[in-house]
Order: sequence, then C-alpha cells, then structure tokens
Amino acid sequence: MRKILVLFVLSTAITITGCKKFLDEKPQTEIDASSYWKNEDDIKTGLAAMYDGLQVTFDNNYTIWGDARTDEVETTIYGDDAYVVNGLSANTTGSDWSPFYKTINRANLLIKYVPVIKSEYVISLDQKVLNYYLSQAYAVRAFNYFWIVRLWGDAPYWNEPFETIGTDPYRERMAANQVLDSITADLERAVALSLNSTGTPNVYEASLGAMYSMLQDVNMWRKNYSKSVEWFTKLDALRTGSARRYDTVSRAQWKLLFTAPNDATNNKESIWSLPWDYIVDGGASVSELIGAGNTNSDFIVDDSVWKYWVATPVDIRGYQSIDLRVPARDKFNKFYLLNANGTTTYPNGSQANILFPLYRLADMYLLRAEAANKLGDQTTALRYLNIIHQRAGLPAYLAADLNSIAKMEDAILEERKLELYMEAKRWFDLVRTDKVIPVMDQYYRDRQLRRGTVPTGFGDPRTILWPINRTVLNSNPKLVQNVPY
Amino acid sequence: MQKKSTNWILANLVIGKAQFYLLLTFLCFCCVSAGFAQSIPVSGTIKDASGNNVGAVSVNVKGSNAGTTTDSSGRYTISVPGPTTTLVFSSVGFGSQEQIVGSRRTINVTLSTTASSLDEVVVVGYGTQRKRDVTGAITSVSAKQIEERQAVNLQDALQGQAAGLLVINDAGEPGAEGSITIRGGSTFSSAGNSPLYVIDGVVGASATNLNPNDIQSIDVLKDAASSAIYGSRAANGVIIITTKRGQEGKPRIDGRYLHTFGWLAHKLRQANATEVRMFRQLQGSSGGSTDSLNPGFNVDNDYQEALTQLAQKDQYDLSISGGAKNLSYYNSIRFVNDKGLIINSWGKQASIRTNIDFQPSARFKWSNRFQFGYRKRNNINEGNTINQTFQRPTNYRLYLPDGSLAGYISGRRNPLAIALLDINNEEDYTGSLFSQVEYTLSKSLKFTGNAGLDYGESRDVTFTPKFNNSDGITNSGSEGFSRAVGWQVQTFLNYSKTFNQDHRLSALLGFSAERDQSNSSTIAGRNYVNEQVLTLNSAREIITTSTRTSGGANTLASVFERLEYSYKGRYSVNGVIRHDGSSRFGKDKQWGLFPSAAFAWRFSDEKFMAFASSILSDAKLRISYGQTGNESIGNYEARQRYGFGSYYYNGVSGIAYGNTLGNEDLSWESNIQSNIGLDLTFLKGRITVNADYYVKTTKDLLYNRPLPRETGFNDIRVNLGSFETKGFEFAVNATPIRKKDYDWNIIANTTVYRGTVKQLYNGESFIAGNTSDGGNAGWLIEQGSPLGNFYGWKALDVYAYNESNAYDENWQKLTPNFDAAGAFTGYTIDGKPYTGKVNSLYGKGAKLRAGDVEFVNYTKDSVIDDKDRTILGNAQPSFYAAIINTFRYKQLSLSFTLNTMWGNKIYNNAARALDDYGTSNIIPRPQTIYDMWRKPGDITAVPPYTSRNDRGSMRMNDRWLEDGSFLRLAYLRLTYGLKPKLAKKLFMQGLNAYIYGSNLVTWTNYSWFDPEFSSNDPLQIGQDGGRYPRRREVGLGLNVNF
Repeated sequence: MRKILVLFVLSTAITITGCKKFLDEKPQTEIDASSYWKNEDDIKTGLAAMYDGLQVTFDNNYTIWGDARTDEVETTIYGDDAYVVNGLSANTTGSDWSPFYKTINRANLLIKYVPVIKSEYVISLDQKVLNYYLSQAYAVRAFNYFWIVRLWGDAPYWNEPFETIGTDPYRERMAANQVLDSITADLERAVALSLNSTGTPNVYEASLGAMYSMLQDVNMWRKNYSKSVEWFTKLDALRTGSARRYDTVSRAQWKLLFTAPNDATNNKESIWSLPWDYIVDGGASVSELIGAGNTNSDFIVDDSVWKYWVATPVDIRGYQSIDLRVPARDKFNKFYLLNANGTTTYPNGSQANILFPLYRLADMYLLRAEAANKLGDQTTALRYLNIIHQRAGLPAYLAADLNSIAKMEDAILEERKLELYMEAKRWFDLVRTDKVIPVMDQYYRDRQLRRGTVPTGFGDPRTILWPINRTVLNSNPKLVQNVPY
Repeated sequence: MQKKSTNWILANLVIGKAQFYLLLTFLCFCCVSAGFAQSIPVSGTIKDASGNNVGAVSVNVKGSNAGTTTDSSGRYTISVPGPTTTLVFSSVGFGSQEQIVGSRRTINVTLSTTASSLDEVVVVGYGTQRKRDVTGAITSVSAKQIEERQAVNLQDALQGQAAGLLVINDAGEPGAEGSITIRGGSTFSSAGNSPLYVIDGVVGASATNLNPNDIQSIDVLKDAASSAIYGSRAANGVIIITTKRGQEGKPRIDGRYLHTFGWLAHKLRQANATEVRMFRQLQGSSGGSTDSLNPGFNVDNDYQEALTQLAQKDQYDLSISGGAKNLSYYNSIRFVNDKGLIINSWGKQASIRTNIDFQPSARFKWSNRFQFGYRKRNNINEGNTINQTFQRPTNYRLYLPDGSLAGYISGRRNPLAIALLDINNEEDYTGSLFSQVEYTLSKSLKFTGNAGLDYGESRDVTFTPKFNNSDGITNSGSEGFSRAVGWQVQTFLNYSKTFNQDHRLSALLGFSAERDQSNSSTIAGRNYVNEQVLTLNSAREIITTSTRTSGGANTLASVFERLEYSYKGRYSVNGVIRHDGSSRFGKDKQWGLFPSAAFAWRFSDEKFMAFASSILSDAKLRISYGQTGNESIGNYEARQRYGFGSYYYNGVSGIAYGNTLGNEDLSWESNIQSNIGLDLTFLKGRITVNADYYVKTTKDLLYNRPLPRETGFNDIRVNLGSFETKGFEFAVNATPIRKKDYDWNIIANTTVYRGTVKQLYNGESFIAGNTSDGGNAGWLIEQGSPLGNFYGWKALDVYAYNESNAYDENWQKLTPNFDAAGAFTGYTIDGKPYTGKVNSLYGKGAKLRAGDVEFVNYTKDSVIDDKDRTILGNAQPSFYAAIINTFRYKQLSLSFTLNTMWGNKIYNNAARALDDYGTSNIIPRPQTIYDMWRKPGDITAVPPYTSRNDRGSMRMNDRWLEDGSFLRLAYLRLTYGLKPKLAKKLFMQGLNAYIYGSNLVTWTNYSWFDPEFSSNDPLQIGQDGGRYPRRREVGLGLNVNF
C-alpha cells in the first residue's frame, strides 16, 4: 500500500512538471524577447530595424510633410486637395506621428541594451565600437523628434524604451522648446560618442557629418544663428586624410546626388541619404505621388516652378528635377536616372528604388548663407549662395542685386526652393523664416478660386502645425489636439 | 479574488492528475482481460405499422452503452453478451420496444408510431443520453433530414435545420463554404465566433472536407451546460457529428449521382453604351467614345453574359457498407466536379471515408475512422472580374478584331482576360486517422481510449501573366505550401447504473491532451521566363517582400468530469467540470476551469398534469447555467517577441518588435450562459415544440486594447470588456397528416437575438473599418450598443442651388428664392423673408455648392467633418427563421425549405465603388446617371460627376445603405422512389429519382447580387464588396442501392 502511495505521489509530481513543459510552446518563427540583445549581431540587426523605421516613416510622407503644402506643387484629381488649400484634418494622410515613435522606441532599445550587452554578455566588446552604434541611436532619436516638433509642436517625450504594460503608457505632450533642448542634448552626445568611436558610417547612416548638419539645422530652426555657424564650421572642417570630407559636386555630376549618394569618389556632397531597395523594402511609396510607371501622380509641378524652368533652360536642375516632356506635369524625374535620350523610365511604385537625400552640402551652404545674412555678413551670404546658384548654370548674383537683408533672404529661399526642390525642405524653410503666410496666402487664394470656393487664403496661422491624427488622439486620452483643429 | 480562483484550479488540477493515472491503470487492465469476453450475434429487420422498413432505429443493449442503428432498409446486427440481454429499439417518431434475446438469433420488430421520441439517443460528448434525460439545449439533425438537401458541404446540410443556428451559405463559388454561428457571436474575432466541431469523438476536427452523406447524425449543443464538457473551446457551441457505421449482413451498396445546372440568380442592370456616352457628356467630355470609326469603343457589351456560363456540377457518391460477425465496415467515396458561374472558375472535391468497427467480444470494441479529402479549385478574383465588369464602360471592346482578347483599355482591365488567364489555384489534401478502444469493465463501467491524427497539406499557386499586367511586360506569381499536423489523445470512463428502477446515475471522468503544429511558406516571384511553368525556378526575380515563412504550435491539456442523476426520468440533474490548460496564455494563467450545472423537470409525469395527458404527452422544463471559454487567439500572444523579415535596411535584415505588445497576463475569455427551455410533445409525438431563452455573457474578452502610439506599439491583447447576448429560439416539429399512403411533416424554427457590448477598455468606443472620411463602411463599437452599427454621415438631397447652402443662426435651413430670370432674390424661412446672418456649411476646407450632398449637421457648426457621423443602421437581422416542409404521397415525396433573415442593413460597397466617380473610367449604375444633378434647381440625391468627392460628397453615407431582408425558397426536392417489390425485380434494394433545386426564388429589396453572404470580421459585418454571385440551381439525381 505504501509502495503504491509513493508511486502515485511520484508519478503525479512527474506529470505536473511534464504538463508544465507540455504547455510551454516557444515561438517558432520569431525570437522570444528574453533571447535577444545578447551580442554584437543583435546590435547590428537592432540598428537596421531603427533605420528601417525611418524608412517606413518617410515612405509615403516625405513629400507630404516637406513639399505638398508649399508653392512647389499642386494636386491632381487623384491627390488630396487638403494639402494645397490648407484643409488638413485629423484624418489627412501625414497626420499620424506613430511611425516616428516606432523608430524612437527602436533607438531607445539600442540606447538601453547596448551597454547591457557589454556589461553582462560580451565583456570583450570594444567600447569604441559600441560608441559607434550608440552615437547613431542618439542621432536618429534626435532626428525623429526634430521632425515631430517641426510638424506638430509639443510632443510626448520618451527617452527609454516601452517594453511592458507595467510601464504607464500615457504621456502628455512636452513643450516644443523642451523637446528641442533634448534634441540638442542628444545630438551633442552623439557627436561626443562619434568622436570617440571606431567605425565609419556610410552615407546611409547617421555619421558625424550628419550630426553636425542636424545641429546646424536645429540651431537655424531655433534662430541661434551664430551657434548654427559654429556647427557648420565643424562640418566644413571635416577631412579624409588631407582632402575635404564634404565638397559640392560639379554641375555635370549634379544628378549623382540622387542616383549615387554612395559614390564617394565622385560625390562628396551627400551627407546622409535614405536608400530604398525594392527587392527587400518594397518600392518607396512616394514614387506613386510624384511619378511611378503604373499609376497617375497625386501631385503636379506648380505653375510658377514649371514656367521658370521652361523659360530658363540654362538651369541644369530643371530638366533633371521635373519631366518637361510630360505636358500633364505629373512626373518628377529628380530621383530617377535620365536615359541617354533625355527621357526617364518610371518604375512601378512597388519597384521604385529612391535614394532620398536627408542632408547634403548644398543645403548646409545655403543655411550657412541664411545665417550669415541674419548675422549681417552679406558677403559670406552671397559667397555661399553663388556657389550653388552658379553651379546650376546661372550667372552669379552681384552684391548690388541683393543689397538688403530681405532681398538676400528671398534670393536664398528661392535658391533653396529650386536646388532642394522636392527634397522635403521648402515647407520648413517657410516656417523657419516666418514666411508661410506672406508667400503662400496668394497661392491658396488662387487655388481656392480655381476650385470655385470662397478665397479665404491660408486662414488661421495656427494651422501651420499639423493636426494630430484621430487614431493617435484616441489611443492616448492625455493628448490635446492642436488648436484650431 | 484572483488568488482564490488560482488555488481552486490548482486543487482541481492535482485531482485531475490522479484521475489520469487511474485511467491509465484501467487501460492496462483492459488489455489483459479483453480476451475473455463472449458474445452472441443477433440481427433482424425493423418495420413500421404499415410494413415499411425503418432506418436509423437505435438498437441498444439495456444497461450498457453498447448499441447500433438500423440501415436504411431497416436491418441491424448487434452482438450481445448473453441470452439474458434485453435489447431496446427506439427511433424518432416511434415508441421504444424492449425484447429479451433468449435463444433467438433473429429478432424482427414492428415499431408503433404512437409513442414519443423520448428514448431516442442524443450524443452529448464523451457519451450519450436518452432524450428523456437531456437537460441542455440540444438540437439533433438526422441523416434523413440531411438527405433531402443534396448537400455539398455542412453549411448546406444544416441551413434552417435548427433554431439558434445561423448558417450563411456562400453557395455560388465552387468550393466556398460560408459560415455557421450558434446563438450569435460572442467575441470580437471571427475565429472566436466559430462553433467547435467534434467528429466521431475528434475534438476540434475540421468539417471542411466532410462528406454530408457520411453523416449519421448531427447534435448541436447550444447552451453552456451541454457544451461545457468541451470547456475552453465551447463558447460558441459545439456541433457533434457522428458518421455512419456498417451493419452486419450482406454488403449494401449505395450509388448516388446528381447533376445540377446553375445560372446567375440575379442579373444586375448595367449602364449600356448609350448610357455610358450620356455619362461621358456629363463628365464634360465628348472624346473617344463617340468616334464611330474607333473599334475600341464601339461595342455594347453585356459583361455579365460574357463573363458567366451555365454552371454545371456533378456529384458522384458511392458507399459500400456491411459487416460480418464482430466486424462492420462503412466505406464511401465522393467526387464533386463543379464548374462555376464565372468563366474558368471550377472546383473539384474528392473524399474517402472508411469506418471499421471490430467487436471481438461484447465487452471489447475497437473502432477505426479514416478520412481522406482532396480539394482543388481555381479562385476567381472577384475584385478584378465581377466588380470590374460593372466598373468598365460597356462600350469598351473585349476582343480585338481578329478575335483575340483585348488588354487594358484606359486603365480598365478586361475582366474576361483576368478570369481566363489569371491563375489562383488552391489545392489541399487532408487526412485523419482515429482509433478508439472501448472496453466494458462491468455492466455499469466502460473505459474508452482513443487517439487521432489530423494531417493537412496545401499548395497554392497564383499567377498573373504579362497580358493582364498594366505595364504589359511583367508577370508575377507565387507558390505557397502549408502543412498542419495535429494529434490528440483522450481517455475516459463512463459509469452508468440504475438503482431500484427509478434512480439512474451516470458519471464520466476523462483526460485529454492535444497538440497542433502548422507551418507554411510562400515564395513570390516576378518575370517568369515561361508562362507555362509556374514553379518558382521559372521566376527571374524573387519578391522578398511577399516571400514568407510562418510556423507555430499550441497545446491543450484537459481533465473533465460529468455527473448525471435522473429520478424516474422526471427529475434530471447534470453537472460538468472541465479544466483546460492552454499553451497560448501567460505562464501563470494557463489553466481555466469550466463548470456547469443543469436541471430538467418532466412535469408531464406529475400527477397534477394527468388531466392534460391526452393532449400533452410530454412536457419538460430545462434550466441550465454554465461557463465555457474561448482560446482562439494567436499562439504566442502572451509572449513579447521580436520579429524579422520585414525590417531590412541597407542590406541588413533588422530585428524589431511587432505592432502588438505581448501580454504575459493573458488568459481565458470566459462565457457564462444561462438557459431556460421548454420541450413539449403534443398528441403522442404529432407535434413537438421547443423553446429556449438564454443570456450569455462574455467576460474578460480577448480584446485588442489600443496603446498610445507614442509607445511604439499599436495595441496589446488583453482580457478586458464584456459582451452580452440575449436570445430566444422557438422550434416546432409537426406532422399534421400521417396516413398509410401520405403524410406531411413541418419543421419550423425562428431565432431572435440581441448582442450588446457591455464594457470596453476605459469605456472608450472605437471605429472598426473605415475611420476616415472615405467611402468604405465604418462601424461604431460602443458600450451599450450591438455590433454591426454602421457609422457614417446621414445624407440628404444635394444642394439644388449654390444659394441652397444657407442656414440661419440656429442652423435651420433657409429657402433661396429666385425671380423669373433666375436671379437670386433673397432667403425665406417658414415663408417669411430672412435678413439675418446666413451660415453656410463647409466640407474639406471649401464651401459646399450646388450638387454637393447635404449632410445632417449634427454638431451645428460650419464644418461637415468626422464629428457629424451618426449610426446609420445595423447589419444584424432582427430575426431569422426557416420552415422545412415534407410531403409524401405513396412513392412520391416533396420537401422544401424556406428561410428568411429580416431587418438587417447592408452597405452596398460594390455600388458605392461605381457611384463615387473614383476615376473617370468607372461608369456608375444607370439610375445614378439618370438621377445625377445637372443644373441649378435639380432636386436629387445624386451629386454631379464634376464635383466628385472634392468637398466630401462621397463620404460613407446612407445613400448606399440598403435593407437586406429576404425570404428565400432555399431548397426543394421532389423524389420518386421505386416500390421495393419492383426494385427487387431489378435486383435492387431501392431506387430513387429526384429533381432538386436550390435558391429557386428570393424575395428581397436588396439591389446587388444577393443579401446573404458571410463576413470575415465580426466587427465589420454586412458590407457587400461585390461577392461571387450566387447561383440558382436545378438538378436531376438518381440514388440506387443494392
């Protein structure tokens, strides 16, 4: 009897432990979170995921955020009029900031776990190599917040990863200025780490040059002109051996900026670009907005731009930015190769490899010119402006032509509009220089009239900020919509 | 509270383990003693009072679970333990009879039709019950009822047969299935709303390839008390299917053949070439369409005619069954060859079943079930064919002058070319093996052990040739494989004993374990070197973004107990407890407890009811209460996971979290249901009435709680919220006439139910489907409301004049006035001139103009935006019902089914896609063209093409919301059966010839193809996106048996 009892107790114990095992099914095609962040490969894949987040973020929105609301484009019947008559709503495509935050979470995971990997799993890892990874995580986090703050203003701020429901997921919006302070801090930290690292980020990653560029850009946005000049000077002083690390490309090689940012021999102007490889990423969706082989575009070239480039064939940027052979004006060829006969073969949307420039030296030169102008140094402003202006094939501006701060600023902005056409800069140029309403009001009136509605112009200046997407708002009750949306 | 319940479960779990070992011990015991049992074979024929053979009669050994049923010629064979055995014969509509075997080896019985069906056997899961003792809400469907249908699948077999069972039949597309829901949905996912199928004891089996002719009986367990024995997966009811067994005697051969013809049940009117040209003018162009010399635009196609064909379906069935002493077998083969309505759509199905029962002794029985299924079909892309036919202008050519197919014209596909040249083949094989051992340990105790294996394998091939690609130079396709393997093991003990004649006690104790593993991979490619070879070595380029691999497994372990007690069949009590442990839930939340209790009172046996006994032969009141569960979620949602394969950057495949955060606290969704039911039998079985009222509440709803997007996640699966359904079911089975030469039977049932969302996360309502101002349907899910509430803008007529967009300060509409010359003279309100401030409405940033749709301005502000949405209607029917009539006159019998669904709304998105002027080459419905606003002053609901959706006229609105009520003559069969004597002369046992029709007449106001279609997502129901049209079928068939 006792034997039976012992046997019974024993076998019951075995079954219960067996049952626990029986019910323990591990994921088969994914990694359980407890098995990740263990070695350097995990950092590399985590980093790729972070950049992938950036790619997804800009996939469809690059043009929408940076160009759609400006005098660069008009909509076709396939596009949403909301962008060009200032009718944004909480449902408009582009109002959703979630992809930025997805990327931020991935950057935060790196910032949290990279040190843990060294301290707990692979002690032998070189700190300098880790700094190389970490600097990119800080830079990308800052870059994401910089876009958020410019588009929506105040924003919830997360600088640690969200990984469990035990953490309170609800955060209020932080004041834009505070977010900008954090951005600057992140970037300065990234610079410090990068200066103490081994590893050379390529043009598709956030390198030291990209960090300097961002700092220049952020300080311009905050109107800290002299600070901005300081960061530009550091960028300009970067050397590879004795040669300049960054330099403008020649007029003949201008197209390389968009088709071969990684051609380090012929193209030293590209600082940071975002590449699409349709084989693994799918095509860049923006192509379907501005020129894909299989569908009509959402946008057409605005009249003012079209007329200028038709009338100014010496400007080599014209035929390389928009397809002057397509009378419908809905094909933008800037990001595609030109065929020998001058035509462009537009890939299907799903096969569009686009290499978006995020920062390139011409952008930084013109920002430098803008800062100089604001600081009263018109000579320097003119010098940088003319580098870009003349490269395009145009005769140099004379000091007499631009003899006031206002005139100089207008000329610089106009140059940026043409040089950086469809590179998602124009909208921020207008906001930064407080020129949205002075420049755009008349455009909006004309467009409203064309659509047979009452010409109200741009309307409420508070609508310069984007509305927060309805789904995003609903997901976090602590968010308050931007007034007056 | 939580802690307490965990302890409860643990306590029970430990007991469960003990029980398991007990069972194992019994198993060993069986193996030893099996050889000693003896048996006597007994056979015979059962006839009714008029001398006809009666099939499907239960023949049971009294006091044990052993039993069999008669075949359709009334024959049975059974092995009994000894001469003292009593056999009990019972069947629907007949009184039961008992016979002591004695020395007889042949026992022929004549059953009288006077008594009720109370001794019929009902399958209740891990055992059977006499109908008399049933305490839950169970509806049984017999083989005979199914036979009247010529069913292709289970949906056909079950539609209209039971109250509380909503069967949506997607008949039309070859191989399509539709859906079955018991007592309405109870949760927010479609997987969680499907009933559990138990086929011959295999829990969670797939009914997809089941041959309806193999079915002996279907028992639908509707309330929690009946289904709780299946615990964690029974929240949506259980459908128990028992397949046929062979009978001892000469082999019986059944051959069946049916050929049906089908055609488009509802052809829709489409804009003809003249109307297309009228529309072209309204678009403001007189372009290519009027060039009489252009061969591309000068036809007037009837696309529906061109794209459809006479559907033809062949159903071949052959079954052989029989048995020798101790052994019975049933074999069936079915082949269905279906050529669908749309050109080039086809499906082939084959299934084979072998059931073998071996009973070497009266105590020991070994049953084997083997099933094999094959299905292959070519799916037609509905969006690119059927929907395209309506979108494409009818004056566009389909063929080139040389007779070959035309390609794309003005961005519109040639639907005929898509149907003919696109390939979307789905091919699957399924097999299941099941083996069961039953051993009678003593008169009252029986052990059962079984093991089953399910295997499924599929291959899908898709291909779009260059010709059908818009660029004309790329072709693309994919090839996918999947495999699913599942096994399960069950052991259980049934105890059954009658004490002192009056006390009947039975008990069940069981254990089961199962595991399912599935894997699949798809490779997609582009630029195939040869369009005949569709394997992926032919593709020059692999599309990485569409190439995927997935795999996963889940396990479930259970212990279950049931106790039943019945006193004189007058009072019955039934209690069930099941514990389930599932691998899908959080480490500490895997085990769930599912108890239930039920009580039945046959008050007709009480003395005080004696006065009514001449009319009310039997009356039973049932009350039950129980809890079941739902575990239909992803396999690993309780875990935080990193994924990869879609996070590439610059040559590195990144690893990242997905959109849904893992939740280690994830646990069971439980479903608590109380049921009160009444079963009445009048006039000795001539009329039976069943009525049930139930309330079922889903708690800890498995639900995607949205997370703030700033966390980097979209949502997390949590146990939150609750959902309540209240329903009433009523069924009548009456035989108004029962004579020797003719009879008439009616089965009628109706169901009413209301589901209400009781609690959502934070009480926050949300919108399912379209959340923006687009034209697709959106649904508001909010507390206190049912599911299926269409949420959009309420449309009024369009503004007749620009000046019509005018309101006073309280947003009362002003009437604009014009002089004889048409000049605007001012506003009036209620006939009085108005000179105050004039408000106007804006949409999409612009002031609304003449021809723009006026929407109800609920917010009373100057903008029509998403705050002006309202509930436009509900997609759920207020009731559904069916009537099945069967008449017999001598050798002729007629049966037909009428079914109806009433009061539901359908969002006609197929029509919306035509009417919303999305692109210039989509032609609206003809009525839309005629009704379009043309000039100031026109009063109509249809905006002009020129304003399109510029100011939001095409938002989701009630212009496309239609009443989906219908009444349908769903099935009809007229059969002539050869007289048995005559058949014998032809060396046959029987011969039946029949005419069969389905979907013969439909009365509905719904304008698109058909109001009956299934929806995949329970949160997004009732949107008709242009489904494969339903066919009307008429067929001829012949059944012979030898």
